[in-house]
Amino acid sequence: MSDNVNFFNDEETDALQELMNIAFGQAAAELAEVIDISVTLSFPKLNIVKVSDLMNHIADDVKYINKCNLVEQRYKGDTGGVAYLIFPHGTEKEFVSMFHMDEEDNDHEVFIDVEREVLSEVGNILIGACISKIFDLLKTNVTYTPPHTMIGHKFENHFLKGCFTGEDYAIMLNTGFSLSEKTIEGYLFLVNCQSSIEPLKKALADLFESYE
Amino acid sequence: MKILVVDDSAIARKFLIKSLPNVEGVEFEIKECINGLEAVNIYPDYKPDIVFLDLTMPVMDGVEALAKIKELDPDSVVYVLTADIQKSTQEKIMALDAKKFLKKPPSKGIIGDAVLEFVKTMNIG
Repeated sequence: MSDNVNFFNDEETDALQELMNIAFGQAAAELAEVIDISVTLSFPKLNIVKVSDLMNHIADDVKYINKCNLVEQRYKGDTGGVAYLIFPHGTEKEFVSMFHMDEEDNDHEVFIDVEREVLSEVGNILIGACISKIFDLLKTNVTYTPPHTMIGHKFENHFLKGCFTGEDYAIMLNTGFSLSEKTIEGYLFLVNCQSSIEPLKKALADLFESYE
Repeated sequence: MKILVVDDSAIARKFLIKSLPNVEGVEFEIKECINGLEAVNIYPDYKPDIVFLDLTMPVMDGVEALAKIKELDPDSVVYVLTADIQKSTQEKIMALDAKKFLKKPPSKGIIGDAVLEFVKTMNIG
């Protein structure tokens, strides 16, 4: 936990990290089915951070933030936020190859779109399956906007605009992972807005009660 | 009956323990470990009947711990309970002779059936 803010007690923090672990595990299995790769998982982390510091916290983990491939998808329901799936720039070509999309003849202009399409699909699978599973386990519904994919961009503050206000806190769940014998490393961040805290605490209390 | 629960998440251990069934005539003695290394170290003295083992853990992960436990005791009964439900992971785990590959989160039904199957096999209770 960051910033010495304790919106969640230790048990709730542990449960949110475990839910992320379960949800991302499911998402990874779905991706592995589609492109026949293995995904190495790591331990998810929960951080409570001021929205104004979000960029710095993301940059602590993602060393290639100045030029990256990014899939952004917003979700809304009792809880709301934004998911960011981040890969190093250059990996779009490896994904195209993994999806066997490089076997077709394309002129350069079309090929760019193929890279974006493929990254969007990876985002759809990883983000969609992960968020669905977390909120399914918490028995709460969310709806999504379509994924927005950027190739070779700097991750900037404007990606956070419209979702959060500067003085608010964000509940940031993130996990790192690697694909195919560690040739591609990536991160998934689920950044929930401060108004998600009470619905999340209520959903966690219901989850705990289901095990009593 | 001795059960060793190995998971770095305290809440995951608690959910598993809460999912254990009530079996007439069987009392559970439970020990908890927070990583694979602790489990490997405790195994020879504790001699659990069943090990519930997570895979994604710090210090020593579940795959390495399973291999080491099998070296210590080829007849050990290890139920892997994991969020990593990829086919390739399952194949790796079963090749290391885990008894079962169970998907997180635990439920009373799945954990209950797994434990009852063991109880029946061992003819205890």
